[in-house]
Amino acid sequence: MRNNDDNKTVAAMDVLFPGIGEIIGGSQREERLDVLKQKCMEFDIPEDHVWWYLETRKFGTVPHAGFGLGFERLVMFCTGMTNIRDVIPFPRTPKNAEF
Amino acid sequence: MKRKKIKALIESGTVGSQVKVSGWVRSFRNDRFIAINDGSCIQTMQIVIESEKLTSDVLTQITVGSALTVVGTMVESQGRGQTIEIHAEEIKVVGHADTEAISKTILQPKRHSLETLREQAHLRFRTNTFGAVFRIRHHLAFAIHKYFNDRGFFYLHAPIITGSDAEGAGEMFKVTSLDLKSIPKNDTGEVDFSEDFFGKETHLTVSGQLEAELGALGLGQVYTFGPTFRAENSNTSRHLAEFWMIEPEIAFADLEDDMDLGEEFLKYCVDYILQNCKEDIEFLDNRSVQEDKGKPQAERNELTLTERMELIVNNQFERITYTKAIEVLERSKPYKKKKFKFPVEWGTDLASEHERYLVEKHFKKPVIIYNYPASIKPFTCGIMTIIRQLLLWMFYFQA
Repeated sequence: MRNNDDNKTVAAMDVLFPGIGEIIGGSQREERLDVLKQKCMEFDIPEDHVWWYLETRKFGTVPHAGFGLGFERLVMFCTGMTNIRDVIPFPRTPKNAEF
Repeated sequence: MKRKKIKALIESGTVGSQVKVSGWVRSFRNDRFIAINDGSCIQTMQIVIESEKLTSDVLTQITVGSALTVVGTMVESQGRGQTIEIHAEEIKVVGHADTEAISKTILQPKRHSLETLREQAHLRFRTNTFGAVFRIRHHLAFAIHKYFNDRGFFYLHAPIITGSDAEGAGEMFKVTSLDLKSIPKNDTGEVDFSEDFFGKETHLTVSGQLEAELGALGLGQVYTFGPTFRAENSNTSRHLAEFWMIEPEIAFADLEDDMDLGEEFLKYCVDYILQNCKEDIEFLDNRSVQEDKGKPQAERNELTLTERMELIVNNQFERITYTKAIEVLERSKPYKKKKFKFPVEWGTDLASEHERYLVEKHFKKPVIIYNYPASIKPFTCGIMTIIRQLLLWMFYFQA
């Protein structure tokens, strides 16, 4: 996610719903190549592991943003079911892959 | 004659015409009234038969759980509970159901716990509760595609199998075609993934975000909607090893655009369900009211399901910075009375008790918190943030 200019916070957001808490987590992505490269250095990541990701910042980079939403969370909210296993047809959980 | 769905017949409400319906028997009483459900909606269709006109062979096969095809005339119902019914002229037992054997299953008409229903997940689609849940699940999926399509987003299929060079992706499922009985090792005794199908270590995806970013930086606006996987050994009511994620990504956009999109999108989806799944919502609403009666007061929902959904649709989401959220919490009653278990301090993560206070007690509507301290994101709890954490492991700097 993108560093804000205050250098203390990042441009991330969470949408919180009554009853279930976080339903969406999103952020504005870091589009600045130099900042990304700096992070690579800080975290000791070889740039050739993420060359493709960096290339999108090399050629016509633009501010962009997005979020993630767990579909089952939304189904729980819209059905009132309280166990996530009851909103997916065939739940996959530890020690259970029946059906 | 083509078979008609019960949903269509109820919606049209026309009487007098001859129709053909099929479905599974929910009840059969007085050798005269059969209730069948075909899954198209929560309602059953009452079939009225003249049992004396049926052979005893057919009659004995009309039992709970059996499948029938009926040809008859639609008439206005004299009975309570339905407006129309079908007076049968022809009945065919498509598939019979052994009464003795069915009594050991959840198809036996009585109240079953959700746990029992889960153990018979192959049959639970025939219950009212799960019929309603999975119809709503479908309509939600459709609403999501419709929302994005109507706004010019493109559906991007992110790969299910992902390559990762980084170590520490312990909560990801490994994908391999290596023979587990004789795993190739290199000189230092490590698994030689160059011999594996992809020539490198691969996993099931935990998020399509990175691919969505690449797509958005060319197509402008994209979204992914697919299964994601997590090999986390947590057996809770909130975790699945395989679950579905929606990840939109927009180019030429900042955090405010992102929040605008999130709010509009959620309102659209919830409203779509309110408008298009009225009967199912009504059923589930009653169901949770009944369920709540067995719970202690503190655990009961203050609002009904419909009210909770309307709260989303009818309110502007409150948008506050993380810094402001901390200020609100520091002025709150539970904070002053030391009722919070977790500390409230700038730079520490908000616990679920803090989030609940903000949403349910203070603002009483959905809340968007933004501009988090760099130090705590993404090291927070919650399904989305766990994924971000995994992504961080994959790429260290990316979240």
